[in-house]
Parts: sequence; C-alpha cells; structure tokens
Amino acid sequence: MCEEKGNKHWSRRSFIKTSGLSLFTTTLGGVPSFVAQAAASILEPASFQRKKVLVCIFQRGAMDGISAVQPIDNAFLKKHRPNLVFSATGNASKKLLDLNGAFGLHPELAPLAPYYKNGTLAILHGVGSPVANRSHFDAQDFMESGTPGIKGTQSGWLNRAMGAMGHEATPFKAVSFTPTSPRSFYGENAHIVVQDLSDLSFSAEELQELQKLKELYQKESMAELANAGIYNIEAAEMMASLDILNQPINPNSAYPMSPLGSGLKQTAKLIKANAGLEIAFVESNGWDTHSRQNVDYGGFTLRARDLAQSISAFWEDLGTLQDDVVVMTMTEFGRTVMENGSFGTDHGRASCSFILGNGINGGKIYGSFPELAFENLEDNRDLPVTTDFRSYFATVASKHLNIKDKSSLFPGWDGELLELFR
Amino acid sequence: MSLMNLAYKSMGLSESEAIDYAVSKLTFGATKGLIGEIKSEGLENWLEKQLSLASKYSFEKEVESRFPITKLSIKEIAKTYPSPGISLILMGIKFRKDKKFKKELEEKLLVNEMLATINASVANVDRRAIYELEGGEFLRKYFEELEFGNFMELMYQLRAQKLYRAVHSPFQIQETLADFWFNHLNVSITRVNDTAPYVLSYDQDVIRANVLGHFDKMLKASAHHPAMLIYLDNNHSNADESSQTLDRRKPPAKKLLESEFRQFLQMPGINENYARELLELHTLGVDGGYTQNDVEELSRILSGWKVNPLLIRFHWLLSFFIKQGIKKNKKSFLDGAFFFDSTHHDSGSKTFLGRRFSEKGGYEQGIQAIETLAAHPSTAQFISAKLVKRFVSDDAPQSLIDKVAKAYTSSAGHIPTMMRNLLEAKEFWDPKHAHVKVKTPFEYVASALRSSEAKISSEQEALQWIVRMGEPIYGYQVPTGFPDTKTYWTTGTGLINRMKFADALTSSKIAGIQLPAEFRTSEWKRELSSPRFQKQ
Repeated sequence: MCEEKGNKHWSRRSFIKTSGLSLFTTTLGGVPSFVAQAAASILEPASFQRKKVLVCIFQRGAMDGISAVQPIDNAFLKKHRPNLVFSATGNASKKLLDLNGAFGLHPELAPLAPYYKNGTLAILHGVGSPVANRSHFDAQDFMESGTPGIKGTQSGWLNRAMGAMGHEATPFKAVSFTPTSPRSFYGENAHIVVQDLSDLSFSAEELQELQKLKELYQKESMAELANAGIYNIEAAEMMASLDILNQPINPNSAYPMSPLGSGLKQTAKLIKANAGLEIAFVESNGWDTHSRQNVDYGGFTLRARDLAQSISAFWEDLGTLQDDVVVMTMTEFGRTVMENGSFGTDHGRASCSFILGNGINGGKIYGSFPELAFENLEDNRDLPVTTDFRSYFATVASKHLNIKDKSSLFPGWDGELLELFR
Repeated sequence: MSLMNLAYKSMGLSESEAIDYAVSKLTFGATKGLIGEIKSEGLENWLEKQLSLASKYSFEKEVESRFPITKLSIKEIAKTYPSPGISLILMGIKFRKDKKFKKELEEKLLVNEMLATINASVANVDRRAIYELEGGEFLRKYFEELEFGNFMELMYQLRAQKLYRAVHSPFQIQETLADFWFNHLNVSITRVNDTAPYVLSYDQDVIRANVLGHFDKMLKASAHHPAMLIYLDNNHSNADESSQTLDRRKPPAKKLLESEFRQFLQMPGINENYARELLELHTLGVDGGYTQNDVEELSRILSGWKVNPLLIRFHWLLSFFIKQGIKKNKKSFLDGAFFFDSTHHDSGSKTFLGRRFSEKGGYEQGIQAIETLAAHPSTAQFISAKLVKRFVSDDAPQSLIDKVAKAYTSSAGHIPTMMRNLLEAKEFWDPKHAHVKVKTPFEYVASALRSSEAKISSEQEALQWIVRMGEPIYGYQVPTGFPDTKTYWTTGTGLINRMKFADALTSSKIAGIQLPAEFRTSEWKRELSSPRFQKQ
C-alpha cells in the first residue's frame, strides 16, 4: 500500500511563494529578533486555504463501551454487572445522564452531554473489528493498519489517508502527539511525531543558523534528503513565524494534565495558528480496566473524566474554528458484558465511539445494540460487533477529509458508509 | 583463507578512497584513528579480521562490566527482571492473603494506570523502576521482598549496549551485521509485558552469536527463542480441536476455565502468524513461491513449539506440578527456554512445499521444514537482495545480488562468505553507490559520537534523541523491521531533531556526553547538521 512516491519536491515551496512567508524568511538574516517578530506579525501567512482537521483519539487498552454509554435500568446488566451500573434516577451523587430514554452517559462523561444535546456529538455503539481477537496488541495492530486479520500490512490507515488527500500541504499536515510514531502513522507519507511542540522551536539566533543549513539542503542532490531538510527547517520556521507555542488558550478551557489533554491543547494551537494541520493523533492510555474500574479512583472513572474534560476543553478552546474540526474516538475492542470477580471487566468485542463536529448529525446513538441476553452475545459473553470499524473510519475520511477511494484506505474492503454526517 | 581480492582499483578508486568508501558502507563511521589503522594494516587484512571470529574477549568484557545484565542468561533475566505485568501477577499470587497488600493495591494504585505509564516510560527510555514512578512507591517493599530487579534498567541496558558497541567496538562490521540481522528477524519491546524481557537475550543469543555463522542456525535459534515465539504468537499455536495430537491432550479443569487465568490457558487452535512471517519475511519472501496452504501446513508442523513455562518464577510447588505434567507426556521436552508441547502438536500428515511430512509428526519435522526453507533458492535471493540493499544501495544491482545469492547457496548460508563475495564483487566498489543511502537515526548518532571523539558516561540521553529522531531501536512494532530506504528515514521530523542534537552535542547540553574542545564549535555543529553527514 505504500508504494514509492517518486522524488517530487515538496509542494510547500509554492505555498511559501504565495504566502508572504518567503519574504519573511529571506529577509530574516541579520534582522534583530524583535524586528523579525514584528515582521512576522505583519506578514502572517494566512493566505492559504484553511483545511478540514480530523482529530483521532485512540483509547488504548480497550474502553468498556457499556460503561460509557449504558442501557438505562437494564435487568441483565443489574444482574451481571451489579457494581458497574448507574441509575438514571434517584438521589445518588453520581447518576447516568439520560440521553434518549434508553441509554445514559457515564457520570464522568458529563462534560460531553451538552454536545449530545445540541446535536454535534454522535455515539456509535457496537463498533469493532470483524476479526475476533482479544489481544490488545493484535487488535490495535489490525485497527491501526486498517486490515483486520492481516499482520503484514506495512502502512497505517492514517498514513494512507495523508497520501490520499493529494493536495498541497504544510509540514504540519499530520501530527502525532506521542513518544513514537503510532502504528496508524506508519508509512511513507511525511508527518510529524512530537510529544511537545517546543521540541520544534528554535531561538531567533538558531533560526538564522537554520537558514544557512537550508541553503545547504537546497543544494543537495539527493532529492529525498533535500526535501526533508527543507521541510523540517520550514516546520521550525513556521513554529516561529506563526508563533504556534504562544497561541492564546481560552481561559475557560481547563485541559487536564494528561498526555491526552496536552496533545489536544497543542492540536488546538496548531489549528489556531492556521499551521495547515489536517490529521492529528492523540492517545488516551489505560483503558484496560480489569479491576475496580468504577470506584472513585478506578481506572474507568479517571480515564473517562480525562477523556471528557480533555475533549470539552479542546472544543471550547476552538471557538469558531470548530466548524473545520471533527474529533473521533477509537479503541481496539470492548469489554465483557459481565463484570469479573474484581469489579472490573475482561477483554471483549464491541465498544462504542464518540464523534464530535458541527457537521455531525449528532444527538443520536448509531449502530445496533442487541437486547441483552446470553444468546445475543458473541461467545455468550461479549457485545457483538455490528459495525465494522472500517465503515466508521471510511465515513469520517470520506465526509470530512473528502477521501472517496475506500479501497486505498482499506485494501480489500468495500463496505458501506454510515450516515453520521448531516 | 586466501586474502580477499578487492576490485576497487578497476572501478577507479585509490586505496585511500576505497578505505573511506568501505568505512562509510560497512561501519558506524570513521573515528580519529580508524582510517590510519586500516591504512597501516591494509584494507584486505582489516576486512578479513572484521569477518573472522577473532578474539573479542576483551571488548566483550568491557561491555559486560558496563552493562552487567548482558552477562545473565535468559533464565536469570526471566527470574530477575519479570515484566511489569508478570511482576504484578506474581505479587498478586504471593501476597494474595496479605490484606495490607491488597488494600494498598486497590487504594493507592490502579494497575491499568500504572501499566499505561510503564509503556510510555519504556518508549521514552526512562530508567526509573516502577516503584520510583508516581503512585508506585508503596510497591518498593514488595519488589524487594520478591527480589525483582528493575525491569526498566533491563530495557535501558538492552538499548545502551547496542549504542555502546556501535560507538566503541573494534569489530564494526559485526555490529552493522548485528543491526541488519536483528531487523531481518525483528522482535519488538512494544510488547512490554510478554516479549520485551527476552529481547536482550534474543539480540545476544540468536543474532550476535550467529552473525559470523550460518543463517540456518540463526533462523533455528530464532524459531526456538521466547522473544520470537511470543512476538509472533507461536507460543499459542495449538493443534485444532479436530486434529490428532502427538500425545493425548487434556482439557484444562473447568475451574481454571472459569477463572481469571483463562486468558493464559492453552486452548486448541492453530495460529498461523509465525509460519506466515517465517515464509514471507524471514526466508522465501512474499513472491518466493509458497501458497496459503503452505502457510497452514507449516503452522501445523510448528504447532506445540512454545516457551518453557518455567521461565516464569512461579511458586516452587506450582513449578513442580508443571514439570511433572510435562514429564508425563513422553514426546514433550524442555530444552533451555524452549518447550516442545507434544499434547498440542498436530501429528497428522502434512504437505509443505510439495514435500510430505508423515503422520508420525513430531518436533523433528519443524527442524526439517526450517532447514528446507533456509536452503531454498528464493531465500538465497531474498536475503541477498536485502543484504546488498543494506550495504550498497536502495537500488541494488541485480548482478551483485546474484553473486551474493550464489555465495549463500554454495556456502550453505555462511554469512561471512556472503560478505566476502559482496566485497570482492566489482559492483560493490562502483563509485556511483557512494553516499546514496541515508543514515538511520541510530547510525547518525553513533557516527556523530564516533567522529566527535565523544566521552560517554551515560547513553540515556543519546538514546532518547534516537527515539525522537524516529527510530525506537528494538521497538518497531511490525515484524518487517524498520524499512531500509532513504524515503523512510527522510519522512517525518527526524532531521530537525538531528539538527537539534548536533546543537546540543556541540554545546555540551547532553548529560553524560562530553566532546573535546575542538568539536565544540559552530562549524562542527553545521557539519553534523549538513546533508553530507546524513548520508553513508
């Protein structure tokens, strides 16, 4: 899937020519930094078209979808996961938030409820892989490569998406806020992997030195190396010229101090700075809740709180820029319908996902959720997978990123798209 | 052995040009003394010495004294440095009646929270033990009581010894070969809780032990090693329910099936993963002439090839029962870290690559299958193409691949013979192949440290830089290993991090690394950042 792309020089050069950034970068040499900064603010390169942004949140460890979005007052659940169900009524301090009379949102996910109510948040229940595999490693591999059951696929689905978008882009087109490249990003399409954007930031003095290096790279005969050098240096220049690190944060946005919160905060900075971001990848770790998942400091409790607060902080931080952005969550599988002996849940099959965006036909729960009874469960234990994750991913890629070629994203797959968008 | 006959002159290179060329292609970069050393020794002599089993004793001693975990056997590592997940399970068993432990575990720590932190710590080359991480402090006494070592230190030394060797080893070609062959038979520490503890042993006992030997031996060592058996799931490949097994199989007790331990039980069902990659990635190559049926038959042949369950330090009584259980099955055996489980070996007849394997079945059939694969002409081609790509060019000339493949076949996969034939081929010395490859981040950092005459007291920050540049060594999740192309290594933000590294290195901002004053200059920084220095 990741054929050689040929040695074409980065199209970003043409972007620079038209954006005024070239003027800035060529006049930078020898200019005192305060003058350069003033110049940067005048020559702010806002002239290339703002692109749609897809923000992917991978919930590693397998989220218990039934805890996240629970059937209300369900006898089967009361019997088989007595310590994990919440009531939607009564005086308890923690209550399910009734979504549609049939399902309720976990109390810790409350910050997401307003988006469901205003019709921008959709929930997809019963999503998962068509290949029954309850190993985290394998299931993540299958989901991220986009080829369930096939381990040899070299590239990740998001990397293929980067290639399929096929238009001019900046170095910040695709960014993963993780320590190493996630499996979803494996492949030959250029992208950034960074935990903290300040890793890409240089002082004015260092930027001048980079200018000299850029000249060396422009003279380099190996095209791949020349392109990469220029591309990397331009990323550093954009960090400074767009003042990415100093983008203001909405004071009402309380991002949690977690990898997810930090990743989303930085994602918002790139969007606000108009850096050309189109695909962002952030992780939420620790969903493997085998024990005491629902107590005050339980794994699910803490993770759900982090997830909802992070997404909500991000969404409010975006303000009017929300229109360009879709947030999608994904997790490798769900968890057993029955709780285990230690008030947790074991590895299961289907989970649920959240999709947030102003173009989403939200306020609805999509997918199919069976009447809970042993005979309706997969292997008599797990919520069955009724929506192939590829249908979900391909829908978002098609409707939001305008990638119509399903088979380039998901080789060998020709399934149906979903009706998640307005 | 006669001296190598190097054809560089006929390709228009002088001796000193040939030396520079060989150093850039075959080593982790020049050092102050290396070029002079080769000159005085003669290039042919130097290459010959690099490819012979000359006594590496003193250098190995140096490695061992600096990284003491490298001295341990796989059994000692498994007992001393269990993974975080296994540690917690063993602790849970040991202290199951200890109310204080249980209470602390529940109140202070959430196992899943901690495991998530640990994955990130491994990725970031963090050396701190689990009990030194936030929230894990109370575990210290339990770790001490069970005498568990610091797993993170094992992960650190695994990576640090590789960098140390690349920078300091006088046996440079063995180091570049070790890097190549590990990547060819890749396993990954991203599987923190099951594969990772065994990767150091895999690197040493499977790869390094055989880089100057025969490929089939390396391949067999890999097939028997816990890291590979777990990474590619053969450890859970069992004869299907409907197949007959070599010794009678007994289903697990119902009580066990219903317990939380069921995820660890061995249930009927073939897993094709290892067999497929053995064909596709390790030997024949994807177009090497095998079918899906061959994959299925090979996985049946290899069913029951597993990890010795006693590698994990269970309670002595449980270990005793496991051992007794294995002894009862006449055709099962334990051999070091390997376990042949006759009760899950499919003993039906099989046809693999057109050859019939009789109903008698058994362990030996796996050995025969692996030997058949190692001796296959497709394997000779596939491996030679990768080797030439690694040491010459991404666009390797077919005539050169054929020469190396011929050497592979005639020497029964003797790696030094392949290398000798590579070096004796005139295509190797074709100046058009000079500086056509991009260094990997690991090669870049190693060569920067070598050429800067760095004094290194800790490898940690250098390793973190290598991760940031995009190469989490020993941590490539996919069994293909890192792609060996200039396209791959120029994708992403690796280069800007190389430039940052060059700045940090030359301005003494990397803890544990010091350069002599002559290298702490802006000129040297620019050299290390330049396109020229990224190529080999």
